[in-house]
Amino acid sequence: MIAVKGITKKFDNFVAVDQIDFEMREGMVFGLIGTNGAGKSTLLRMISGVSRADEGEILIDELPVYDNPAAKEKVFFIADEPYFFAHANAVDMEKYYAMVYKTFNKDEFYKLMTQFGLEAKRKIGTYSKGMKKQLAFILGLSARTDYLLCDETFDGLDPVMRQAIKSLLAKEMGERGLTPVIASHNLRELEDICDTVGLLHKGGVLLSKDLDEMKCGIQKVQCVFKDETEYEKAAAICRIIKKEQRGSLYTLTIRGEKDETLQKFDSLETVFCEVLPLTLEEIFISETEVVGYDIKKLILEI
Amino acid sequence: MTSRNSFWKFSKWNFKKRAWALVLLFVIWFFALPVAVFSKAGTMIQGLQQSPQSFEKQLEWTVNLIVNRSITGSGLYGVFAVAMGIFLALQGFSWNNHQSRVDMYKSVPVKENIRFWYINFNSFLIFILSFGINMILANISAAVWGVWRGQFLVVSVFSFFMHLLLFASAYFVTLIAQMLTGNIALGFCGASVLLLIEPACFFLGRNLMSLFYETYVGRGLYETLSQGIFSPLSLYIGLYKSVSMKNMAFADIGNYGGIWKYIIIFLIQIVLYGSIAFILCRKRPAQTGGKTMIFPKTKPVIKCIIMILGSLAFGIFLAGFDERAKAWYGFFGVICGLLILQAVLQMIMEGDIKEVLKGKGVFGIAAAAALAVFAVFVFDLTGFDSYLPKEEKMESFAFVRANDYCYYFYDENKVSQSSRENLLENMSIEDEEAARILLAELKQAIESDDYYYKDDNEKDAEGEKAVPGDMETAAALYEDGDDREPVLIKFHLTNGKEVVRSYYLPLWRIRKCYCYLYDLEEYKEDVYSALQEYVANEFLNPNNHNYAYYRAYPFLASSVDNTKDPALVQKLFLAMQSDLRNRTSEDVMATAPVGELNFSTDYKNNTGSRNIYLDLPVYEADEETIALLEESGWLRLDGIDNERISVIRVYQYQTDDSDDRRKVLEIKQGDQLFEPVMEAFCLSERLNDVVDSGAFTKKGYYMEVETMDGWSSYSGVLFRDSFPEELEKAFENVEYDEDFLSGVG
Repeated sequence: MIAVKGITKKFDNFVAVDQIDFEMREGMVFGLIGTNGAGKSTLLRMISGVSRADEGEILIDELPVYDNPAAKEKVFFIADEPYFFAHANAVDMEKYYAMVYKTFNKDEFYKLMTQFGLEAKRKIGTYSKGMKKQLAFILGLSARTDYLLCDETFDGLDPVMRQAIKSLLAKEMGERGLTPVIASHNLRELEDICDTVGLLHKGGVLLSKDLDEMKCGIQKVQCVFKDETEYEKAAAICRIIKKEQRGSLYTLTIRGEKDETLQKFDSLETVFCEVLPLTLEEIFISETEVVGYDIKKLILEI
Repeated sequence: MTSRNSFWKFSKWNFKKRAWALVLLFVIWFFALPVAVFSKAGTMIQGLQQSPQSFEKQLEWTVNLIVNRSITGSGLYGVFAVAMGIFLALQGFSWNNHQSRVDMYKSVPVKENIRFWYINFNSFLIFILSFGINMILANISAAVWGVWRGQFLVVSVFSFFMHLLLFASAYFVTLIAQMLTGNIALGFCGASVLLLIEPACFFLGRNLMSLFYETYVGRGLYETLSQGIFSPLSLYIGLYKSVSMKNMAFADIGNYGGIWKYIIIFLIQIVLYGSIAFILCRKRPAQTGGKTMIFPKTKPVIKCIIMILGSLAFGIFLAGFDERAKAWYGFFGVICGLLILQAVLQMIMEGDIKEVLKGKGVFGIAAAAALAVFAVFVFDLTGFDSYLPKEEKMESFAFVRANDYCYYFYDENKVSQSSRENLLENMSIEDEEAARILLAELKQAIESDDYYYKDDNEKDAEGEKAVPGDMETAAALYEDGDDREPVLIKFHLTNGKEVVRSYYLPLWRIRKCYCYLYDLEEYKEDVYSALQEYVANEFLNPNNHNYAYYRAYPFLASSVDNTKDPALVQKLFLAMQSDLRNRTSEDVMATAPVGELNFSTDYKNNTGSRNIYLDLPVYEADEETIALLEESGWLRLDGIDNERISVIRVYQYQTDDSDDRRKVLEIKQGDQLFEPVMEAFCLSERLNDVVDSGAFTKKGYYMEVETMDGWSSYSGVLFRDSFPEELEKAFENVEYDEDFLSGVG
């Protein structure tokens, strides 16, 4: 388990990560989503031991990670822009990582290289951006660490490759209990594979829950009230976090369980009322809107 | 994997990736060492083969020269070592901390300290291999020419060791700068600041004192730059000055005990800077070699230091524009420097032109400090010029006049010293009465603000000028008047400190001190090296090949003769010693020297140069010496035996005050003009008519007469007003086909 306890990280006077606490359990896919500059990459760097937190601690299977090879052996970090040695080919990189990670599996590496259709002896400098991402991912999987930290790994990959990588992750999780931690803006992508999601905003955690649990806690209700006073009643009894109105049709995002919400709406006079499924993207927008990250405001300001 | 195993594994990997640096450094050393030695040795050996002198003897000198100049005698190798230290430190830093790499390197399971040491270990390995192998090749290339000696290997090993120390220190200083700044470009600037700050402080201090302190005695450039102990550059310059620059090989270190001081300080520097670099590396935040300062608090400090030093340099530069208004020019320069540096540094550090006006706090501190420092020197707030030690706190002193000279090429430690250095170093007058008189005169001079050079107190150019040999004018100089002379004084204090000052005093004030001082035996022992045992032993040793010659004043119209006859040299030396002891202050005060006697040793030392060279003024009162000179024919300017003359060369000087001259005629034995010219030449009683080269040309021509045996030459004047008629005609027809050559007088 990766335990993040009271982590704070500052760059000069800028607080990139502020008092973050959460846990990432083994065998589950943890999705790290957040607004731009929320501190996702900084957090991943701290979890992988690249940088040190100013406050708090990060434990990987109970071991502090910073400058601790025993903990780092359990983690492989695929950076947003993976680095490869100048003039190196995939074989060189394989040799390096095989030297660094005791668990590195060369056979697995070459098998994956073949499956992904990458030429091992071709210079990495001549690879496309997507191919470099694939190579980084192959190296990460071949290292056979317990945790795989991926920073925007799906960016630049075509849909087929995304699906292939998702399948590979699922396979590794099933076979050896790999725990992927994926930071991404692509919420649809995460929605498909993540079990747990951490939502970061301005260096803090807005929420960290299982995806299903998260979806249960917020409801999207579409309804038509008999008159305007009924909406005011609804607002009084429900925790409405977002309201959209087109004519007499209201679309409300409400915090609370589905049954509880429906019960409350039963007591109101509505012409029409329906609970719609929420996407992760909608949850993200709703949650961040609450803390002032409002798309309408942004558009108006622009 | 154990730490040891992983160290070697990663080290090997890192070394392979940095092999290009090894190749680059190897090529540089290859040309600087084996190729340079091969070509230098080749040129020298070929030159020797054409030389009529003993090949074996010359070969030994040649080996020394190669050792000195090809391996240790050039500051170039020090420059290479420092440059390579900076380069490899930057490369190592970049390997470990470059923004694009840091995510990969720092996320893998390798301990930070292992990474730190294997990268730095490889940097050292690259330097050692590239330098060491080429040092061996340099020995081989010397052997190819047949000039290899055991000494060559010893020097190579020692030179290798010293340059390795320099490299290591510069390397760790660069690492510290890198760790503080976190950016390669800024780190390079930081490394330059750290390496140069100490010598720069001393350099600026020297220039400020030299500009604004009237009594400051300037140190030499190398001496100034080598004062520090914190910068590896200061230390190497000190080493270079003490050893290489003195034309000494490192093989001679046995003769120079000070070398251990340098080795120990270098080792301390390496341990200290290496430890600081390691601690900073451990503390360094890893959010990479980004664009900001890693330790942001160091940024204003570095900026402030650069601004203070840089603006002072600007001030010094502008102060040199106008001597009369140097203070105001200087202050203006400091302000300009502050503004320019503020803009430049802000742009470098912030990378944004809009930031040039920010950082006003640091600017204010730097401006206040720079102006305050400048004011201290301009207004002499420390009382430097008016300082005089209390009589009871003065143990002894040295008093060196402008005309006091004694040249050494080497002292007992084989370290070269100039005349002034030597006299200041060795003179130590303990007489209390002399100290009292000196301090009283200096105090009066300082109180009346009459102790340094001013435009209005320098009247030599138009007024009465001292004419050497002319007793009347010489005596008049020491009476009340405006004539002045620079005097160097060194106070030896009871607390062990030494204070050196230069005063520009009226001759009448000097006379008050000098009359008492000159008659002291201890003063004469100190001021005249000829009376010192070490020097006397050299000149009285019949096994040494010593020279002597006499030069009558004035300089441009002198007779020169010399001898290698050991008996005559010894006799002259003893006569001079006796006359020096008997010479009184009145002789020196009331008369000017009539000539100078030069003694020099010519036995072979390590470099084959003469090791002692003495110039001693001869006064009319020096009876024994004058008698001996006359007896040996050295004083004759008339009556030179015409049959001894091989050629007469006649020169013309420029009509200004310069020493530029051109040859007008060359007259050989049997030429028509030979007899009349020799006739006109013999006018020794009028030599004192000529004082400077400008006046000289108006009065006549300068002549050199060379004798058949080639050992002696005479020079004199051909006065126009006594030209024979045929000579006038001859000069009218002369075609001047040569330009005036500078400084040949």
